[in-house]
Amino acid sequence: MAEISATPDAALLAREREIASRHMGHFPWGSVAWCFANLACWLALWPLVILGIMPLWLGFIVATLNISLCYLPSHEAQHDIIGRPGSKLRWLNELVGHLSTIPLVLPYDLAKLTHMEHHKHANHPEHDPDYSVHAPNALAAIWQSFVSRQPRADGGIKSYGDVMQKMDTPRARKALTIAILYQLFFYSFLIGMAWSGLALEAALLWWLPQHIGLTYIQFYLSWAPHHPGNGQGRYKDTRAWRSRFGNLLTMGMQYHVIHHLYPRIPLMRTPRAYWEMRDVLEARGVQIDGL
Amino acid sequence: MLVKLIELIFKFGPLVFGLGFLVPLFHALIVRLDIALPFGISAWLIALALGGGLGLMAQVRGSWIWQR
Repeated sequence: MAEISATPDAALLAREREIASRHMGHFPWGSVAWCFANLACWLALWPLVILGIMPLWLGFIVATLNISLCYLPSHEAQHDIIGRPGSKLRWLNELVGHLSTIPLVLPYDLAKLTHMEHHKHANHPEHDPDYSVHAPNALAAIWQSFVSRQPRADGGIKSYGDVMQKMDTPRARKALTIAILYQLFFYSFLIGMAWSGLALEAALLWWLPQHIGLTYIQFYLSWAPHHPGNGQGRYKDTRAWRSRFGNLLTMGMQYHVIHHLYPRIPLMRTPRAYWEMRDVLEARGVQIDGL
Repeated sequence: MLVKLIELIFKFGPLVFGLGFLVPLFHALIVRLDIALPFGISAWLIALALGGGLGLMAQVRGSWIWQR
């Protein structure tokens, strides 16, 4: 450790880049399969539950899992990990990006534009679209996620619209229009189902799981890896941390620091990249909490 | 015209959600849980009071919960 601390910055950066380069450019089969399997599973719940083949309580549990898990394949697409612009697999990248977050009612364009802003301005009180998730502790973060979704609340996913309006580019305007259409479809669907005698099914297969999923995603993707969220800059805005719930339940976010340093490393390779890079990160002063 | 309609729907979003979704949801809950209502009150009336009331409260206060 003492040896690496004394290593010049340029050498540290070179080592960091060499490790990262070994993990970039790999096709994320797992995330692509995850997108289609997860969406197919969630869609299948509707006929299974409505036809009485699956009990509603079980459908609710599976739907909650599906929606909690649906964001990350889109996240890989947002960073062009599945197919770079102009590549043969670009269509697959965009398809995964668009399809995977449908259950979350989060359109790809909006997610991508706001996520890029998050990377540019992580932890900045005014410019980070995810800043409002910051909270002093885990319980407060969960509560904050619900509060930020109230009709006249500021922040949270509701602030994404404000970010688009501020950007005011043709792409941002298009993203905002699509987001409004998503919302209209979602609520029209819920209301239509409810008045067709399927209110409980709509509530327990989409509405409630979407709220739980959003909270789970905001907690593990936005709050936990950036907590306490008072640092900005390359090695200061994200931490490595050990969760008592392990890597699967935290959706790989213990290693989120790797993602912020090298966003094109596929999610499933971030643990390996972290362990190879750990001493460099420590030398750089990255916050490492028990990992 | 369409934009104005969409704006109106979003402006009254909580009330629309309360009446459009919560009312039939509460009715379905009362029926599914077989809750006995006193004085022969209709399940729809209770559902309207709960769903409509919550929607109205959220519309006025800007929040479905006590905190904004």
